[in-house]
Amino acid sequence: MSEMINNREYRQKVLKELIGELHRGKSVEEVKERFGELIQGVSTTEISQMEAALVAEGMPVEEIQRLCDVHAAVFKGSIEEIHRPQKPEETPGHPIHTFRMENRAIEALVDRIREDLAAYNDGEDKKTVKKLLEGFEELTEIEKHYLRKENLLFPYMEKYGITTPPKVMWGVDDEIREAVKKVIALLKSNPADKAKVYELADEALTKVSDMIFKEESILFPLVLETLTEDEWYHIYNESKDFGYTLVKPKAKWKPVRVDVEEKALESGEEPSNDGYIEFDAGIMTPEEVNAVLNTLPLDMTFVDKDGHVKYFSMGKERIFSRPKTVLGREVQNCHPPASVHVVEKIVEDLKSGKKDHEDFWIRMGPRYVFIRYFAVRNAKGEYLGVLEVTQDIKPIQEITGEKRLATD
Amino acid sequence: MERLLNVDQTVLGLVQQYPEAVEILKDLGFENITNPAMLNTVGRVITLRKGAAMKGIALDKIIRTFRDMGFTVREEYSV
Repeated sequence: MSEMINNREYRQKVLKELIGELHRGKSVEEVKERFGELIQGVSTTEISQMEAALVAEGMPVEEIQRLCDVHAAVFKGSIEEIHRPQKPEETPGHPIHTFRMENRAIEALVDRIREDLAAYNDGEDKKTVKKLLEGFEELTEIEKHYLRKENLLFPYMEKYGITTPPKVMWGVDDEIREAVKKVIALLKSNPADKAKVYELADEALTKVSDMIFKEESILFPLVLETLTEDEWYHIYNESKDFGYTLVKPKAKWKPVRVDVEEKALESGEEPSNDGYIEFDAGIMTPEEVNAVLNTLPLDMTFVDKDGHVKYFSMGKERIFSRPKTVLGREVQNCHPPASVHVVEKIVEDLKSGKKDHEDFWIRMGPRYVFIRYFAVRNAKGEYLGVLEVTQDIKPIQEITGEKRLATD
Repeated sequence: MERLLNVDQTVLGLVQQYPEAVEILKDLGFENITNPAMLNTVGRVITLRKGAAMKGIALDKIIRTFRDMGFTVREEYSV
């Protein structure tokens, strides 16, 4: 252990020296080799930790950034390996990453149009009118950004009871569409009416910029704390159909998930596709087990000890639908970020043995749903995971009297 | 007790801490503050500073008003 720490300290020291050399004007090429040796067999996490430690010691971030060029040279250009984004929405391809990228492109376009507008205002001729018109026609691309927002983000917000902000924002989107259209029509029909063109164009551009500000400071934070990763994945998949504004996502985005089958095999669990499974009392074939679990008058979901969804039963009428894509997901990712801490607390209490089960009962339309979470332990008392059992108890609660005869 | 205004706090957080801020903010032009559907959603994520920028209300004016109402506002926020 101490050797490891010393090693780490040593590497830290060398890293500092390298930054010093870069600072004194050595080229990337010159330090590349030593850096390559230094990080051999060192995880990218440790490298970023080392850098963070240097910052904590007071080294200016700009100095650390010099290292980026070296990373790039050593890792053949993949800085992302080290500077792995901390938040999902910072991953290229994530719908919010794409929305933000579009906003940067729209901002650049607005700046350009503003320059053209100033030129037009100073001395109007055919050329400035044409440029201005081209700019605004390009701006109509914003439609795709708005369509994705309105058709992909808003429905999910409404699902979580956030209804007013989307309604208000949609209204403003429509105003912007209208304003841009009006400018284009005016430029085509009567470009000489400078005062009018200027007023309308200025108003339209201001509205576009204001909307970007609203998206970035309200909409995105709000949806990021509300939607689950699975919902983001759905949004991601649907996005292509609407298209993108001015820029396209550069990378495919995939939520983090574990292949449950592969994980089981790696940990030495054998698949038993034929033969019998021995239980505490009796034996069954895998086919029988599957059918029996699906026949139970309740829904089950099993999350393994590492928090990955490993199994769910497929009864006829599931109360909470579970897409198969949920398998292998960390259970935290299947819940809205705002309720994640509740889920984590339950799992923690069951895992630690503080509780054996935790129950909830909620009304859902005509149903009265009883949701129970059980800690699953083996004979030795070792924790294996959490079993969620849900059941509509309304029909059971309604039972009175006796029924002794079979129904015809 | 000292009442401290932090303009980088969320609007919802601010009015939860100081319910009397609702009236002050409404008078300053944040008319949506009395709409729970807006306060509980937009107010949850937007800071007073950003809300002011969005509404076109000068931050200085907000700070002055809160000072007049007996709030303490740290100097650094005035910028």
